[in-house]
Amino acid sequence: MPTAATWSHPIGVWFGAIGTLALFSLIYRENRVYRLFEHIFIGLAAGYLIKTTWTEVLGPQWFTPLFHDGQWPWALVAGFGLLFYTIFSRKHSWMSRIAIGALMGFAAGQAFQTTASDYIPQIRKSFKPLFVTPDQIPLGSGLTTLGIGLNNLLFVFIMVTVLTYFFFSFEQKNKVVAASARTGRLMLMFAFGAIFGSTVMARMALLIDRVWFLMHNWLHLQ
Amino acid sequence: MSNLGHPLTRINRHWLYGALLAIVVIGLIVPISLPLAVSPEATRFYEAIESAPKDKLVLVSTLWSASTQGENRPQTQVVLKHLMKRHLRFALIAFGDAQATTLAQELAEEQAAIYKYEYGKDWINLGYRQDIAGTLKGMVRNINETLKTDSVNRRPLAEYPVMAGVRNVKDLSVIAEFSASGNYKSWVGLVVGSTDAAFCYAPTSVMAPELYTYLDSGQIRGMLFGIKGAAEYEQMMNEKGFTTRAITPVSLALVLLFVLIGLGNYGMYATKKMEGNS
Amino acid sequence: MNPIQSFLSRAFPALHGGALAGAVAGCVLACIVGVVVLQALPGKARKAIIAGVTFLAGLFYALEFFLPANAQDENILTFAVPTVGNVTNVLGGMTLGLGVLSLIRIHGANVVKVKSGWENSMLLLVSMVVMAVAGIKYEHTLFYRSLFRDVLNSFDAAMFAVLAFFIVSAAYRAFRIKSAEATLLMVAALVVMLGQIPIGQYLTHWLPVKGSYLSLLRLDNISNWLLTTVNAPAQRAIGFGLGIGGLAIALRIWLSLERGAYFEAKADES
Repeated sequence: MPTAATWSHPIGVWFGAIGTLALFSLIYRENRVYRLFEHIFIGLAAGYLIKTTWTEVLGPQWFTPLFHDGQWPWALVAGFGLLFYTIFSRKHSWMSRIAIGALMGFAAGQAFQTTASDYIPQIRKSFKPLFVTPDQIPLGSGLTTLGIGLNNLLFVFIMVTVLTYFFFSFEQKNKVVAASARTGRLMLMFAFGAIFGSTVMARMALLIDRVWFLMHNWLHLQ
Repeated sequence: MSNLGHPLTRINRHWLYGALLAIVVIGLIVPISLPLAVSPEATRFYEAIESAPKDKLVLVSTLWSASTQGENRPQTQVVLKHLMKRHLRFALIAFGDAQATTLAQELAEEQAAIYKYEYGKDWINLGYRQDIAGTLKGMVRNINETLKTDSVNRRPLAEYPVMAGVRNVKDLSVIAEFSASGNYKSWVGLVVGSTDAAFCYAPTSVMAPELYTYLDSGQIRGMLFGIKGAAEYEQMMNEKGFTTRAITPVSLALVLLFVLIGLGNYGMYATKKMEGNS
Repeated sequence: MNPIQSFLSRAFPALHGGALAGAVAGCVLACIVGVVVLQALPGKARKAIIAGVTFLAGLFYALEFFLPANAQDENILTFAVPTVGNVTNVLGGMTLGLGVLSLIRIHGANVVKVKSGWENSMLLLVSMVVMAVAGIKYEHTLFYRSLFRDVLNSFDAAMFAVLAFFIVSAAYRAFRIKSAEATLLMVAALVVMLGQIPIGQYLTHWLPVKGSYLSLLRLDNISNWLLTTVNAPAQRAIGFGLGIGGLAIALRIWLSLERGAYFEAKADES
């Protein structure tokens, strides 16, 4: 197996750095150099996908079982998969839906288990104790029993109000329901604010990674 | 003039881009050494690895590409380092994005060379699978039968000592997922209930807020909150890696953003005032 | 081994040499005949076949989940789960060609017809071939590894890094505090972010870490409280809605009840 040092080469780093700058040129304006490197990027990404799909999926999971292990029914799976390609023929394109339907069916069938396993523990955990005993204080928590109780109450309150906001089965005319939905809407803003802040953080991390690549890997400034 | 608004609402975008770039470069060159409070969820991630028994396998699942490597790469790197420091056996597996398997392989090779980890004996790469749900369903029953071969030598998994005693997900101590996507739902929905292994998640910051409900329910044991989570993990390991340096420009860039939002809003109110006076 | 499993292993034994070639040829022939028969079917029968395949595919995982399991947590269908997982992986893998063929068709036409930007299209196709061949044939060479790590990864990361500039510009221009909702959103974003970064945490670092009510006012604690006590229940409520909606959609797809252009048209055509 090759060693870790064999993942990078100065020529590759130079090409990567020039491409990075070319793609960054978009922030000034759309230009020919950007488009050129954009196309190279798409080509490389598609080529890499072909490589991985063959070496990681179709090779070990279809070709080897069929031609090395003699599991001939895999030929039928390939035939079924080829139905996807009827989409390129106007006359036969309806057949692609048989294959697409199978994939969608598999996903739909799994939905029962994923929904049950995903949400039932959450529903159970939503019934939080309002009167907390000292042994229920999580390890390392600096809160008192009263503090945790209040937090639990707030947790349930927010969850109910947000659920009310999303309840569209009848018009929210009742004052209590309307107030609850309005509160839920405001609480949602907290959640969206948290998401907004963290989204910004994520984007900055991506930029920092690139700037570090240019400074460290390419220019050896740091 | 008043129709165009206050000057603070009309800053040329190129100045904004320049300011951001300058702040990032300066932050990387001159890191500000400030302590970072370690969050409870990062501590639980660390403790799950720290307390993992040595006779069981740790599964490291990756679903990220270079597009989010700014966050997912340091997360994966620091946890792999921790696994090797503790000399725990681990297996890599990748879903969703084909790049994930090669990027994780590269990181593991890099660390394996430092910690003298032997491929096949101490660690293995189980490769990339397109369909996460179908694969996870299979792994709950039988890992070897589902995945068949490794990704490096393409040999049957049963031939590798690292896979000895591993039949299905029940034989794992920790499942650590590094992801740029919402595939935690597949793990939580199809695997978590079938094993005692601690499921720890390292998402990008974008996704982190939506995972607190799973931390509350205990379906996810620990979490690394994007790049900041990686920095916390480095701190717990007494390491000074890339994220310890990168957290300064992250901080400065966020401060810049809030200053700009403040300026924009001040400009808006100033414009309203100007319009009211005219 | 359960009865279904033993039946399948008897019905589909592993073959080698000439027998394997014969079986593969038989499968190819069966597929061709199948396509001819399918094409000859009237519109209603076509719809029924699509609906039937979708239902059967979903039925496998549904039954595997709902049927009672034995002490080993297995039922009569559990043995087939790894194989069905592999089938979905292979089917998923086979869809890749759709995208690749589209790329080749569009960019190949650009090159052949020497349309504007044909040079870019040619470079796209050359890059694709070089990467695919290098990856499949020369996977462990420095050329391929550098092409992947230094070039492809750099381009990919750069494409997404550009978003950082745009998000700063967009936030400056669009984030206007004009309502109670916008104010709350802004406050939450500000507190959460300040609580996550060292510079923000430094603002309240002089407050005690634990053991005093004052510690609750530390920005990192307020941020964590917002995330765990305010954000989490809101996310949970959103999740419940998504879960119910997702299950309803899954049921509609499984039972072919979904309506719309994609689900109704086409099968009647040609």
